[in-house]
This record gives sequence, C-alpha cells and structure tokens, in this order.
Amino acid sequence: MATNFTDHNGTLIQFVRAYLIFWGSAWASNPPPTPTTAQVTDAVRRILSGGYLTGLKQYRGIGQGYILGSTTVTSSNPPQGFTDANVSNFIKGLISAGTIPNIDADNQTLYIVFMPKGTNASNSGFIGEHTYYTNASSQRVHFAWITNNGTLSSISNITSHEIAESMTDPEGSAILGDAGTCSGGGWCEIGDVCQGTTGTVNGASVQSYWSQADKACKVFDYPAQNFPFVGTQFTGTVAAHASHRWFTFNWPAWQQVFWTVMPTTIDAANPQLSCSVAVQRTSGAFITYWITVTNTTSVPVNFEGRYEVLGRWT
Amino acid sequence: MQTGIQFRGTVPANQTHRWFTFNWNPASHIIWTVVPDSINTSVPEITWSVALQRTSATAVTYWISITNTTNTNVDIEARYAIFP
Repeated sequence: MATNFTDHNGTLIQFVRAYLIFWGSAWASNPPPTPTTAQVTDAVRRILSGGYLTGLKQYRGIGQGYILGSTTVTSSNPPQGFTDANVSNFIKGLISAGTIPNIDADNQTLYIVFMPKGTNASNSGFIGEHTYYTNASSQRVHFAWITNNGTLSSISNITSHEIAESMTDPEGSAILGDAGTCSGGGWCEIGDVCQGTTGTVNGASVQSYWSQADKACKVFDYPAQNFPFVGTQFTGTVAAHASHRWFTFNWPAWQQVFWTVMPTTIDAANPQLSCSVAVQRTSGAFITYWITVTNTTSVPVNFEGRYEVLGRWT
Repeated sequence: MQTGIQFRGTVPANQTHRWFTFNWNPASHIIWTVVPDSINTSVPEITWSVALQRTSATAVTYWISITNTTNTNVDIEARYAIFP
C-alpha cells in the first residue's frame, strides 16, 4: 500500500517552545560526557532555527520554534528500563517544584528529556518517543524522551524526528498515516516512515520526514537566496488627507522583512506620505503585514509599497 | 548582512512595553523589526517604534517600544539587521 498521510484536524504545535531537560548525574560528570549538554543544546538550536522544519508549513502552516530554556537534573537518575510514566512523573515533579516552567499560555511547550548514555527504555526497540500527559488543570503536557548512545549525531537525529512528529501530531489526533502505512503499532507519524534517511541542516544531523506534498521522505532546508533583496509588493493611491491600510500575507516567518513606501506622484513643495506597519502571525510559518499609509497633502498620492528582505534565521 | 534575534518577551494585552539594548556600534547601520511569536488568525497583533540614545562616542542604545493591539498577551521577538 502506498504511503499516505491524512490530517485528522487534531491538536498541533504551531511554533514550538522546546524546554531541554538533561536527566541524570552523568550529564554533570567530570570529565564531561560525550556529547556534552552544550553540544546537544547547540544541535537542538540548529534544528529549530535552521530550515529543517520549514517543510512542515504544508501541514496547516506549522512553523519552527526556539529553545525556551534548559536544566540539568543530577539529583536523580532515570531507571534502566524507564517508561513513559517515569518520564511524565519526572516532569510533573520538576514543574511542581518550580525547577522548570509550566506550559506556556498557548501550550506550545515541548519538554524534551535527554537520557544519560546507556539508559534505555523498557521497550528496547524504542530509542525516542513523544507523547503527553494530562495535568491537574486538564491541560495536555507534551513531552519527548531521547536515548543516548554517546554520539551527537544519533541524539540529534532522534531529536529532529521527535520534534517534527510532536509538532504535527502531539496527541495522536492530527497528521497520521492511513491504515497500512506503518508496520508497527502506536501513532503512525511522519518520522516513522522515513527512518534511516538522514541529512545535515544548519550543521545539525537530522532525519528526513514525510512530505505529503512531495509524496516522499525529504530533508528540508531554506531555499537558496541572497540577502538582502528588494521589490515592490503593491501599488495604490491614498486620497487627500486620508489614511488607508493594505495587507499582504503568507510571508515566511523566518524572513526578516522591512517595509517602505515611495510616492510616485510628484510634489515639489511638501512631504506627502508616512507609513506604519503592524504584524500578525497567522500560523507558525506565516506572517501577514498590515501597512497603513497616510497622505498629508491636499491631493491624492500614488505610491509603491516596497519590501526589503534583510535576512533569515540561522 | 548580519541578522539575528536580540530578545524575546511578552507584551500584555492592549499595552506598550519598552526594551533597551546597549553598546551597539554607532558606525553600523541597523534596522529593527518585530514579529509576534503568538498566533492570531484574525487581527494584526503588534506595532513598534525605535528611539536612539548616543551614550558615548563609541556606543548607541536602542529603545524599542512594542505595542500589543489585541486583547490577549502576545509573545514577541525583536530582530536586528546590520548592514555591512
């Protein structure tokens, strides 16, 4: 049966706030472990801010995200043969103690727990997983755990897989493979059908994920662009002593865009136009710009609405 | 051109908050932009303005005022671009 994914319209994480938790005394050992917490943190930063997640825009406009914070917990160690319940209880305890923040107001938080080298799950066939638990306020708390074979590339690959899947299907109710797409049990998600295909994006090792638009496993990256580049997005006319607002939508959130207006009506005597910009993030991936142009003269003024794309996330 | 995110924060509903960032090189040409990190499918969320303070011959402080035009809190990120 051909691989096919369907959106079941459940919860997504549109713009992830990743909170990294390094569990176990081994993370603070002297000499430090390989890889170190700093190396893992840098890899996650590269995954989130590079182009890897840009392919998720096809799934209801999912975007990227950032690292909200991190902590290393040395006061306990995960049990050998740990379970999801061990991890969720661990996170509950840290939130309750105020060691880590509770989920954010938009519930875009994803807690990612990194295990010390050699500590494996009860089901040894799983090297990473994401799921959720329901807290006392009936909110669903999304988390993932990542095992550690002592290599940064493995941890980075597993983490990329779990982040992509957590964003597209944090609760098993959103982007899922049709019956027969996956051979294993559990939620059939966009990383599960692409295991074994990896790449490097923004300096981080990543695993490919399923692109329903391409009907293939892909490793996404930013398009090749030279910055800055400029253009005219629209033209218009503002009546005398009036203001008018235009909007332009579906700009990639990872682009840094600056707006200006240029009169094309000649006036040798007076200043003619001023403009202000309001910004709206309509989804994780897309920005709408609202540009208000004010005509300070007594005659209509034609103008160009111009953009300057200054750069992007790195 | 060098670009980046200088800070993130939250602006409460219908309020303006001002941040400052200091010790920038006055010889550099810098443009500041702000985008929301919170999603809103119906209305524009934020506007911003920039004030400058020359604190010494070799340093500039930028004061960035961000206004939340909605009735819910909005997370923001302030981005800089330094022209070569």
